[in-house]
Amino acid sequence: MVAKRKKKFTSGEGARYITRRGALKKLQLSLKDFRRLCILKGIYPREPRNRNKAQKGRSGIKTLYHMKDILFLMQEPIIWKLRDMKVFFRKVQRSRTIKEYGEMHKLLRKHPTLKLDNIVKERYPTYIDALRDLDDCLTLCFLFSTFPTLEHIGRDLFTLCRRLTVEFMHAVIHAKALRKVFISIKGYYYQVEIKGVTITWIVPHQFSYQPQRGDVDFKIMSTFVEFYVIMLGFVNYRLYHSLNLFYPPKLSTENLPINDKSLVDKQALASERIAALNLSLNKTSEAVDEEVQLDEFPENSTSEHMEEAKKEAEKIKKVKTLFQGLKFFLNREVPRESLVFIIRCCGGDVSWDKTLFVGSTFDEDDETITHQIADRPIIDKQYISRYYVQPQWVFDCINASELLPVNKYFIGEILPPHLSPFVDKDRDSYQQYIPPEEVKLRDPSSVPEEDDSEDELQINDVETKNESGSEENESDDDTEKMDEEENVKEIQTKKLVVKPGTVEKEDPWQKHRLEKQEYRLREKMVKNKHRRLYRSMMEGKKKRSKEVWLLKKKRRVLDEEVKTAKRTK
Amino acid sequence: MSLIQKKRRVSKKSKLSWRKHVDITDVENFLEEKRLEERLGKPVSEKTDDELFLIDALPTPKPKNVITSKQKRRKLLRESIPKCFSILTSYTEVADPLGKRNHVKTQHKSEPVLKKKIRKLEIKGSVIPSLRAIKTRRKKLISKEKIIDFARDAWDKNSKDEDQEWINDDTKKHTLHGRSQYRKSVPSNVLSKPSILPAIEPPHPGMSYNPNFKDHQELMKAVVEKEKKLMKEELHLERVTSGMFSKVTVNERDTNWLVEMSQGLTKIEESDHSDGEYKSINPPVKNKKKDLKQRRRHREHLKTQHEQRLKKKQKRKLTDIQKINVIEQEINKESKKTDLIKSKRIKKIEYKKKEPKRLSTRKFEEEEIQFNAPENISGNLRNVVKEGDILVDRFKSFERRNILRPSSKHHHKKGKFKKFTRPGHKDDWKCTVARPSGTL
Repeated sequence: MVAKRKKKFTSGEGARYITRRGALKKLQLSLKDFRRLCILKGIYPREPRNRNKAQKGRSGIKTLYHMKDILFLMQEPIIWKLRDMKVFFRKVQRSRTIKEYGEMHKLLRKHPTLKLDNIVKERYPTYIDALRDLDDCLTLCFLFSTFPTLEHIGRDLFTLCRRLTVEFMHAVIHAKALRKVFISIKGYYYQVEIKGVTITWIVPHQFSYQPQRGDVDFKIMSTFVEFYVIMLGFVNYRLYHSLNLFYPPKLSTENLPINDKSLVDKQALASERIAALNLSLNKTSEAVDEEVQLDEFPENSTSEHMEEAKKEAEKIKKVKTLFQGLKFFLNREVPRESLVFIIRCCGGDVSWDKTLFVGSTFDEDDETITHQIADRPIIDKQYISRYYVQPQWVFDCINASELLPVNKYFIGEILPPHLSPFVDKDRDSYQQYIPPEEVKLRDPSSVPEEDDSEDELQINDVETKNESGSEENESDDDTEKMDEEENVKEIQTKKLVVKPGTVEKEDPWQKHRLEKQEYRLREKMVKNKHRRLYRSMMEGKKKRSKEVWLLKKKRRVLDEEVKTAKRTK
Repeated sequence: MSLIQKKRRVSKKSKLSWRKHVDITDVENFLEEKRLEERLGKPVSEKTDDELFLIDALPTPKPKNVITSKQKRRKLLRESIPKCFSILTSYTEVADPLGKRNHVKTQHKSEPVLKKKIRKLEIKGSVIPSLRAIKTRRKKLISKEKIIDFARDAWDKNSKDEDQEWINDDTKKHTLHGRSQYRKSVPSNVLSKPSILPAIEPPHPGMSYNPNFKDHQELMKAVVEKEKKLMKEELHLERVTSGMFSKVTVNERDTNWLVEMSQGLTKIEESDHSDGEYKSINPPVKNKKKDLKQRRRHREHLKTQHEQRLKKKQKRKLTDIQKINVIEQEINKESKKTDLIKSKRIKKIEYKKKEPKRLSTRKFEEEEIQFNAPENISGNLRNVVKEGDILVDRFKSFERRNILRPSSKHHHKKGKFKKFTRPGHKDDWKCTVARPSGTL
């Protein structure tokens, strides 16, 4: 008796993989549902080591899934829900086609929803795991929060996105976790550090909703968002509790301005204030944050690294209180949300025009405002007590982790380039050119400061002194005045100078030379097809002109001969 | 011979066949005449003298100016049928030839849902909610936002879900396995990411809204290089496909065709029929056997060859001992080569980790590099020109990180509908045997 022959691909790599079509058959799901399930559960297609074996000898490139993954999906209770949903939608469709709208509405009221809570726990066993995968989540949620109501996708997904992202921003503000910001043409890049995990995300520019183009499957992306929303909700809960905040966020009535309390809908009022990002949330307990002290190690263990780490820690500490005590007022043309977010992250106070958005705390005529952020060349009414700067100043300050001199960012000034903080530090100046601005940004002490910047710093000093100068002695006042006058003179000489003009001499040959050059260039543009013709034409011309010249010369010589002959006669 | 034609029996089962086979022109003509009469009156020949002539005995009275009050006129107007409805009234007094017409019922004559509901309630005799109330209730239901509750810690170890029982997971799995209800644990790749690439790649410094000149130039250079590559590829494709084939004029094509098609029509006279004997192309194969002598020689040849080989081997062994240095060098060379290959392979693996895997027939296509053209850089935030779509960016990133398989959106083509008119709505009955011209 011969042993039963082993069939091909029943073990090893051939049995380990399954095609998408096979998976659909095995799970008894439609492609649409399968895609959704895979995205929700975090199952992705795989690339086999040996494709020929994995595809059981079939040619072509097929999308393959691991058998284990599919078996894992098979036991998922969501599958039953998906199958129920299929039946449900058939019923709805039926009632719609026979125009039983009452029945349809009755059904739609009981629209089944997938419960994804346990999937979050399953895919991210710990809180830190969830934080590590937050980049995609935040980027997509911030993007979806800007969308209007779209076909087939209800408004509530977008509103939920908006709510959760605002909550997250509040948490970042409270944790003072912002590290880097960057304005690119695509959108705003933010980087925060929570629990030692750096999270980066992109927020689109204001009013940037573009109707979707054909190349992205919107349904797939909205499935991603469907899961990410749940994840972000739980992350927010955890984050709020670690910061001693109430979740869902609460605003205390003390914080609210008095005249606002008369609004009718209290819930709407609160949610609007929260969306304004300008008021701090209620705390569960007033616990003082512990300052992280870097451990001191014996000196022999890589003191350079220690130095660097200390420097970094110092920088972070600086960023956290960068705008402490400063008061900002936003003009209506600047992007409000991003500026409020980053200024509040660094401890500053912000307000804006009352009619622009709810939640402004002080008016423009407040004399204690230190900076007004404007993005237009001229402003009619200006206060002496504050700087009028362009919004880039705020972003650059955070990236440089210090308050940069304001003079380069005044309104109407041409701004210095906005450099990206997202460059790898391994780049060194020997192998690659680094612009001096960037060098300065990284390490301000290394580059000797230029003269004019020093001057301007002095001016700033003088100005600040001047404000508090009334209490000081007269003699001091006099010297100060002198100083001030000199400084002012310096600025004026530097900025606006009238010099006697000089008459510009024209080179007589210049024009001719230029014409000739242009002519030669034009000659070069002659097509290859006509080049020979052109050349022969030009040669003919030259020849003819030469003949003419020769004849003229002969004539001239002859004439002269005749003349001399006459004279001799 | 009587020429009495037998009457053809035709079916008059359906409306269509009835209309087709019954000549009703006389009825139509009669009705038309009647209508004409109504419009123009009786023909003159049929009219009596009294109707035709009038004896003028009295002078014509002046037309009275009818003065009515405004209210009266208004009232009259109100009572009269509005002009807009005149189209609904019959335009002729001529009676319908059919006494009773069948009422045509359409398939679904749907009533507005709300009215239907109200009527049902009326029949029941219950209190009827006002239309407004129903509408507001419905609006409320629609506008009610779904509030998802996040108020619990998903990662709390102490919290127990409802479905979780007092036994721990391993025990549960074990017992279920015994009852052939196999539980799979979470696969390892769900917990790890399918690619080492970061979700958000650091932006190129030239993508700043107010970039450094050098960074911007670098970005532009990258864009240009990419574009050049694409153009080169396109040129190559053009060259190896349509550029490969020579083109011929129409005349040439025709002559070629003629030559090709007339192949073998004219007999070529073969001159060399020397013998008239049949000659095959392949001569027949002969199985020639070796004789004994040949066999012996072959054997001896093989033997000597074998001996020679052995000798050579022996000699090699002796010489190898003297050539140890050379061999060592060779080994070193070989090992160096393998090391190099190894390092290359490691590098390749490292490189491959960053490349998207092959997951479907479609290859991954990179997104276009976003950049601001120099004239678009305004240098302030107010006039920034936005480039790129974050949705596309995310989608491509998912594809690059092997989360989605590269695909293009599938556009479903709608199936073609075959249209036909209902039998009752067909117009072709107008043109029949009885009525060949098709005019009524």
